[in-house]
Amino acid sequence: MRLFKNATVLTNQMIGADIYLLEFAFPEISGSVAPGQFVNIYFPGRPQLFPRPFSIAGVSGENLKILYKRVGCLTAIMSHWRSGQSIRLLGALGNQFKIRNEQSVLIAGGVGLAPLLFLNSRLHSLNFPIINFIGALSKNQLSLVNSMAGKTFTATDDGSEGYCGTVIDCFRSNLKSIPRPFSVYACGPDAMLRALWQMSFEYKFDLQLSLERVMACGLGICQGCAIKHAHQSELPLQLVCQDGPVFNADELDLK
Amino acid sequence: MTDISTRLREDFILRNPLLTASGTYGYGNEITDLVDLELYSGIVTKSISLQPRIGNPPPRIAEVACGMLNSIGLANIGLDRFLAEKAEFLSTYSGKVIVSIVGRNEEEYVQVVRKLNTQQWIAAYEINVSCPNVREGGILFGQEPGILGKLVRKLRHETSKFMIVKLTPNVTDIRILALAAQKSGADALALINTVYGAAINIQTRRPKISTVIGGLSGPAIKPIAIAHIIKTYKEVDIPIIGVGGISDGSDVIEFLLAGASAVQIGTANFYNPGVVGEILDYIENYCSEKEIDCLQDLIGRVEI
Repeated sequence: MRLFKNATVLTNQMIGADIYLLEFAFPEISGSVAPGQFVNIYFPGRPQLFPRPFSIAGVSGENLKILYKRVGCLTAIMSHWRSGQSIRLLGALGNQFKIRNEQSVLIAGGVGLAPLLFLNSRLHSLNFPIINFIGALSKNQLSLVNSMAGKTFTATDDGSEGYCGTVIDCFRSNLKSIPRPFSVYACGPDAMLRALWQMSFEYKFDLQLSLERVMACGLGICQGCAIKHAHQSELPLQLVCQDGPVFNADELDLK
Repeated sequence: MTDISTRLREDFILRNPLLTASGTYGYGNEITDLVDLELYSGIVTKSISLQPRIGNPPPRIAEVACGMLNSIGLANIGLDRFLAEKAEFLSTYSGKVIVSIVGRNEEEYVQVVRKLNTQQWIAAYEINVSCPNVREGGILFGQEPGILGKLVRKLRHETSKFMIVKLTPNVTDIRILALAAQKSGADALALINTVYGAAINIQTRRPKISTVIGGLSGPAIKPIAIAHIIKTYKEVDIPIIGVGGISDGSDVIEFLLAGASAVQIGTANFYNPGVVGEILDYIENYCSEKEIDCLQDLIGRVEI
């Protein structure tokens, strides 16, 4: 179900360096949303026009949560929102992770953790075994890791917690110990996803990636977020907003 | 109650001045769960070509100050699939269905019109001769008055349906093209298509869209559209449909004052799905406040 509406901010907490968790009521869709889906947030001011898409990071009762990092002027505006602030939203948009009944491996880079937090709680409620690999710049961006079910490996760029290096290298060094068959679900920066995409063919594991692209509408209308399909002769392009944001590795050409 | 209908020809009356702009509302059936299409008086479809088109490679869009840069490249499902998949929905629509048409050459425009002519539910055509993002069959037809006139004349022979010609602002004097279209039998003009634009990522030094130069839309181009409409309104006898950067009801009033008989809402559909309802409310309030009985009385009434 998709709905364009005003909602009220309930909480907007800074939970790490420049990382915020925003919670708002969205009872119409809270029962039906699935991990991987996203919402658009609209900003009435200028000069930015486009709504901004945010993966749903969790559901609690009638409320939805999103996780965001303060990077530009719109996320700076968001960071000042207080409880009671009215915001304009559209959701739920996009497809969802296809949950497979086998060992689940969740790999997150930075604020790409958002959809995997939601997936983690969904997998946990299904009693599926989970291993998490969570990467961040530094320890102070890992506060949500404690709330995640399953076994967790952390990696930080500065070595302040867990593995010192990228989350991909951390995953690679633990690859042999993960019971096969396993399914990988991932979200993070493009460079991380590209590396993982290549690994999935080399080491033959099932991989689903949640992508981010500039979108003007999020509804499949503007056709702006098109990306190349792996099998270009059958389907040359696909839309991240509508056909995604979650794709199987074999649907993508990330070269 | 103000009469907000607008007459583009004796037999072509819109129940309100609001149409969708081509390429910003798909084929009409994609977002019916979110926006009541009945609030518009008509829909202009994505441009239809004889054969399906994939469009341009990514990246295709970028956000710029108060605007959107796009280079979609007329991606569309093609004439046959359009008729097979969209006719059923569009024929039930109570407003005007205006099909935007594009071709790589004159013959393709003619063939599309010929095939669509049999469809009773199509009220009008909008001839797209102004897409800046494809080499063939876009802007090339819209920048030369001789080439434009020849195409419009040919299409006029093919159809008695209402025919709108959508012009590009990327010319030295839009009035020359407007007059060529009028002389060749156009029933109305749509002003303006997107404006040439480009943007560069200073980290990677790469252009932000794959074709380097694309079409700029959104509030950034509204003054350009208003200027072209004011100039053209004085020169032509056929109605002008204003398009370019409308984001709210006050913009619509401004377009009417400049000389537009109707308007198209484009990029705003992306950043505000509720825009059409808000505009209708604004117009109603504006007219009752100013004691305007008939919206048509505003057309071209800018006091210069």
